[in-house]
Amino acid sequence: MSIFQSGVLVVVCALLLGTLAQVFGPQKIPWVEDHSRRVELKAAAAGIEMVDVARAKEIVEKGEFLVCDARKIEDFDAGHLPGAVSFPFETREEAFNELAALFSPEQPVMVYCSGLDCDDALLLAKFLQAQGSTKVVLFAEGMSGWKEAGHPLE
Amino acid sequence: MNRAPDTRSAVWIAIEWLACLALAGVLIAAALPKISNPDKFALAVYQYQLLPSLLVNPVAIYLPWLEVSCAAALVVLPSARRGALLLVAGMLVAFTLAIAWVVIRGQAIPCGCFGDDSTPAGWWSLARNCGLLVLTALALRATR
Repeated sequence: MSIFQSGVLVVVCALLLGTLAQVFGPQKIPWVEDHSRRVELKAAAAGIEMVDVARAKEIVEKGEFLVCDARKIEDFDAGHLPGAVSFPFETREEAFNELAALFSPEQPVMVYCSGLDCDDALLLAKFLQAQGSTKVVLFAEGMSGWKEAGHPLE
Repeated sequence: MNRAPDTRSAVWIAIEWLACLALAGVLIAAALPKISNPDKFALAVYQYQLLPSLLVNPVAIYLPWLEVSCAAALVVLPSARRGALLLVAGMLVAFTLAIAWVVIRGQAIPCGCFGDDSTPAGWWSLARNCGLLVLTALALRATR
């Protein structure tokens, strides 16, 4: 078998297997997706309210919401929204147990992560909803939006 | 048609097999988490900002299976080995350039190399890919 033939054989196998997995497998994703609006579309589908930078600033200033940073603890330590608590999505169960006293179903919560390219905040919002929080809002622009607006960090 | 007799030394044959087995192991380890969570891998691909949105999901769907097919060819189909090794080399060059681009731009994004998001795309990923490229070149040199 020549190099070209064997290369084509491998590629054809990959195309076949990928198509079979996509059609019959348990883990399907859309063939085409608008990733620039990925978080927004998923939040809308999950019924999660989104807030922009101006509203996020208002929330931070008023202090009525519990503000949760879904990024890793190292990122949180390097700078976060004023008054935010670290709630890494990666260790959500552990973090939820630690912060349990701060949560009640009526307690409004705002979640954020690094920006529109991350979905940890969205996933954390869904997790908190599953834990019983009824008022969870998502600040999708996150840290990058906050910094771009020139707002102070803590 | 019968293949010409193998006149290579036992050392080269051993190098070929060891390098192919090692590469196959790495490819499978890289592919399985991507296959089990294609959504997360699609996000990792998107975060590199190198592909048009239209191509992100097809890459996330087919790339892990290309890794699996290459691994299978390396181990169970010796006659297809050279073609598979060239594809592996092509993938590694593409991945290395993508990571280098991220490092140059100073982006802090997950590598996505092994499907997880705990390892950032950075110097370590670059060094690892260069090592794998050397291994692939060695396997190509050793393979008839």
